[in-house]
Amino acid sequence: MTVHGGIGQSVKRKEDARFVRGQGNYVDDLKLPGMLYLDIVRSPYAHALIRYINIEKAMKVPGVLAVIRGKDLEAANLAWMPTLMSDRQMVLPVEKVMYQAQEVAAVVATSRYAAADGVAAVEVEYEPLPVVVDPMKALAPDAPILRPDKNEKSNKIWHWEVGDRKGTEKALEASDVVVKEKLYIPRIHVSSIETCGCVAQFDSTSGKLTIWMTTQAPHAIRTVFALVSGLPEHKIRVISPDIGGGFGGKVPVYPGYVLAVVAALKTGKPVKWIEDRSENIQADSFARDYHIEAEIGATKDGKLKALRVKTIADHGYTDAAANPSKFPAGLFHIVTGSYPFEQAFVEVDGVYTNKPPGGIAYRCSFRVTEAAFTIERVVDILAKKLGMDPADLRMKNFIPPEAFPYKSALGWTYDSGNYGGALRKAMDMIDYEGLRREQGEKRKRGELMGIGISSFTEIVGAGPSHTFDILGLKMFDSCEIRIHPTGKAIARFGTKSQGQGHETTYGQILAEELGMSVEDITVEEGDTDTAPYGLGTYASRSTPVAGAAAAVAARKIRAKAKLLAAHLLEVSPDDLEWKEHKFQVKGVPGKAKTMQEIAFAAYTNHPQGMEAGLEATAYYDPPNLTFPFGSYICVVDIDKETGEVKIRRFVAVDDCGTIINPMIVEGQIHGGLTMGLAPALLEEIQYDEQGNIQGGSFMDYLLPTAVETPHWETAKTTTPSPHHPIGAKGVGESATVGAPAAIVNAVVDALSHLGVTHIDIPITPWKVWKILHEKGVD
Amino acid sequence: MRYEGTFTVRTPQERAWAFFLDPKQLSTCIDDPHTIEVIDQDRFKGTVKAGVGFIRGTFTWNATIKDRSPPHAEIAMHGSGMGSAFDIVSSLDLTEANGLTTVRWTADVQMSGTVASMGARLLQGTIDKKTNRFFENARKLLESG
Repeated sequence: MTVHGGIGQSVKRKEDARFVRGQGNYVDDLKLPGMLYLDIVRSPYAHALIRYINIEKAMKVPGVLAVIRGKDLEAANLAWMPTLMSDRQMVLPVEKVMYQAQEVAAVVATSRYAAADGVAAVEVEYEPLPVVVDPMKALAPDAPILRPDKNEKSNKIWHWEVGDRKGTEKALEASDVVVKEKLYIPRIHVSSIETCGCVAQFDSTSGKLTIWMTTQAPHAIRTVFALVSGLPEHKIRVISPDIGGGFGGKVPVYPGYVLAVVAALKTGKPVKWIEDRSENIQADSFARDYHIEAEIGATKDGKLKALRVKTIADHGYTDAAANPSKFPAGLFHIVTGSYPFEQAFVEVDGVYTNKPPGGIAYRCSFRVTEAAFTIERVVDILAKKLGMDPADLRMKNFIPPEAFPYKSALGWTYDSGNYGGALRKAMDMIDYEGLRREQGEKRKRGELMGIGISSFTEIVGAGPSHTFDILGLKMFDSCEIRIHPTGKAIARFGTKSQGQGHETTYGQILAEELGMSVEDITVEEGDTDTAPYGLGTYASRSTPVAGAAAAVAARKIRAKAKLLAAHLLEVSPDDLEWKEHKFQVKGVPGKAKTMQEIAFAAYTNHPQGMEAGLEATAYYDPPNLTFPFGSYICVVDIDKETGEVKIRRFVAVDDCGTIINPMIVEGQIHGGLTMGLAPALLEEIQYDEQGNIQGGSFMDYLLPTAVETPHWETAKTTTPSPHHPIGAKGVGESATVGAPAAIVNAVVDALSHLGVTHIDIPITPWKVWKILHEKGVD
Repeated sequence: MRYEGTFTVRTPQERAWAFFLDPKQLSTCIDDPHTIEVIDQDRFKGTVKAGVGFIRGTFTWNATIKDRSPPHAEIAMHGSGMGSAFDIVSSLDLTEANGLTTVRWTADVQMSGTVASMGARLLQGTIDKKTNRFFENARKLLESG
């Protein structure tokens, strides 16, 4: 007997009933009586002293009630706030601005229009300072020191390294072949449909502060607010309602949130702050900005031996990266990927520049895309150098299925994998050998066609408490289940969906574990007054961690349910087995109790000496991370006249362990692939020498639309995680992590006979055309 | 960004010098709606309604003649508005031959804020267009008597 909506069923998403009807409840939908609006004055300069801020004219704008400046916050010790990485960032500047579009003052008014008029009337006099936008120049001895409060001598934030430096050096020297390449992974921005914002309300009678905000981690935010503001934590309630996309961009605390809270406390009225699109792109935290130099060594017959990676990480003016505390470069040391390197060494230097904070994820688990892109790119470059087919080189080197659990040279223990199986499947689906023949023929005719492979390994589900914390908070997650007397249930979680479909996915885990229909289970997240404490949703951690908590909590319920069933059936619990989603007397299939019958008894007929009710809570501390993987193959055709890259086919074979809802997984992969295509071909945030952002609107920052998005062909292999209660690994980010390398490898493959070994992303038609022009092809 | 160019007009050098160093006369060459207020001989200020592409609004500006030693002059200008700021340091060098005065001009322009970030792709064209209009207007005025 299967339950409706159990694991493996493509049930429709429960949340879509409201989303497709326009009945979602987002922060900007909230309207409270007497609510005020906050808008922000932003700096036109990337680096400048503030001589004065004159608010006289602004205060005369009809409807303007208050203007908040840095010095007002300084009096309350709120001008600075901590970042997640033990640095500090300004709420509002007192002395100088550090990046263009930085918050300079906040205007509170009775309407959004009045607030904007007030912003235009605030007069700020600046004295421009020398601007540093290039992290390499920031490290030069004569560079202006940007953060003397942190480091008086240099703009270096930290140096971090992992692996055996000397061993790797020796192994590289001993290698028959070494290739080295510089890869720049530019700054990009997540651009979720909903921008960031909040409504802050302070009840002076109860002393309770309620903040409805666009956050991926409501509980952690509550704790941080309590520590920064001094308000008692039980007097702070963070509600994260429906969220229109997060992708990492809604993990940080932005100054706007704090300013709305300050304004609510100051005025005694609810205050709403919602970013406009340009503010979102220009001032919110960014992803990537890694300048990488990678070297790979191998024997002449293509056995990989050693990997060395040196990286300059541009963090902007503060280290506000959203990483686990112990990992300043995130999980970048997954960079050995799907291959059993004997030796590897990674070093990263974090650097300050006059840019907004960087170091948040872009739909990836803490720098995993940077790592996957690096290894999959240099493996391809090596294949070219060795004259080997890139598929053969990969197949020859993959960590074999029998080697799991596999300990990598950089210290990770991979849970399970079958890399060759995924690549073979992708090759069969796309007819790899046939494509290579076609490419050979086309090349003779002067046509440009390329085939690119990416066989990535991810690392998600942060994380085990012995290693993973954020600001000291261990990275467990939680689930609390209450079964009602009539056999219906509510379950609450410490995570927060931003569109992933948690209400359905978690419901399906519980349906399977409890023998209930998914329709009979309400899943709730995002209200810190009701949900159990958790670290939130990012880094593909919801299913690996909170999903596991769901299974563990459900099994606790089942343990009690077994006693109740024994009581009802008048047998010993030892005589019962959980079979076909109910408790049966062993060998007597007709004698059984369903969860619905048991639930009713829990409130109406429980045995003497047993507590009434049927509830359980689990805080799940994962024993290890999970390691989803996949193999993608991309085929491109390049227009010689325009340099335009056209993706003809893209096959994605993903392995995320046990699949809970195949439809949701496919949807996640489609979205992820599109977000992987974006940085490969379109997206980049650039700055000019004065630190002016180039790409601060959707006119210049190119998101893929349906026009640019090819038809994605998806498939799966299933290699469950041995340590996860249901074998699931997480899938939200695999495609974003794996896709860029496949696309770039395909483009470079199309041009490799011209001597091209690498092109930095985004690969725009202009870049390709220039190469073709230089090579005399056009 | 550095811009430079030459402009030749059929008028005596002395007259061209007087024209380009007189804010009131210069002001008549600017097409965009603007105001100008003379503070003293070398300092003036005002407002101008201008923009790049769709980013349009009112900027307040002030200018100072830093060097006035014929035939060389230097003018510094600062303006702000619309979440943007600009600083221009401009030089003029005049020569005369055969009844024609040639003005060699340079302008170092520093743009910050919305105009520089959102309008970057349109900035060059806008500056070229406005410069041409300015000198065409000046030519008309100088050559009409």
